Amino acid sequence: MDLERFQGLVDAYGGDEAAWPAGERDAARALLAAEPEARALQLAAQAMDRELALFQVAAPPSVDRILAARPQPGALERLLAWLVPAAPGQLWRPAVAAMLPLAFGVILGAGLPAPLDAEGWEQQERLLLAAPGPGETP
Amino acid sequence: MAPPGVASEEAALVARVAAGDEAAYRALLAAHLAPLNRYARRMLGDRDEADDVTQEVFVRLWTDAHRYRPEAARLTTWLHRIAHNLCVDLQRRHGRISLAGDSSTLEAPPQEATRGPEADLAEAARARRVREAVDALPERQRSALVLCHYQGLGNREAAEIVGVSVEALESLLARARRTLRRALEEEHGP
Repeated sequence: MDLERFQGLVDAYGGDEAAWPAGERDAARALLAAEPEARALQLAAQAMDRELALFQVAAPPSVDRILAARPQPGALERLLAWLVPAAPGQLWRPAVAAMLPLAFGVILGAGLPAPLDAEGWEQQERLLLAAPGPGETP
Repeated sequence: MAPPGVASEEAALVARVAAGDEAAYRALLAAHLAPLNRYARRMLGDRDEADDVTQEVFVRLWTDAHRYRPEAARLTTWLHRIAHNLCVDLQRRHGRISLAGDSSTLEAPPQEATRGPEADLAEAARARRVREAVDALPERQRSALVLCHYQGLGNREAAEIVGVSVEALESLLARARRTLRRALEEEHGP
């Protein structure tokens, strides 16, 4: 590493050696040991690091707030979780979730009686016409 | 970077979260809540907005845990990317949010026992100037600085989150620190 690259390193990452990219840390340390100018650059960057350290922030929100914000699963999601337990990387789960209403409809439809054909409709009409109206007796 | 053992432990915890395990979720909250909230506060400046972003990040961890791929990114990188996108969206939607005047975001800097009230006031004033100088940075320079310097992410991870190359990230970082140095020198005087 030359002095120009070392300057680029401290300009970007500051004077803390732990913040330097791991692949360049040893070369930078070797240059520091050999070049007094590198040490001066590091000290200037460390002064800037101390200034930046003054920017502290307050405590985070409570864990309870985060826990309370979680959406509760709907009936469909609970059914999906029961059918297909979730695991990382299951990007196809939303597709399975979208297919559940379709599958439910197919199962429901298969259980219904078959629709009437033309002859069946005529028979229904005859029965209705022959049926007594309100206030009539057969 | 976290040791491989920690990464695989976290991946196992995320898998349990995807299956609805609350204990695993609490363990990940304990590890990641404070750092992610610090990131959002330094990016946004507004405490309430930052807390809302933090909450949304963890709601997404709960609802989208099955999308996390441990072979692609560390959990902290994945969570920071979500937080970063939410912060940038907020800033672009509402315009730049200024940190100036929002003291609720700040915590008093660590104090030395021997200092008097005048030294405390001077340090508080310096802390405010640093905060305002960071706040005044362009969005991508601020993101790069906060991710690398304050959050301690590696340059590859930070570059991926900001959506630039490592070389471009270094340039953003150097420009950010140069701008800050100039701003703080102007405050201190020649």
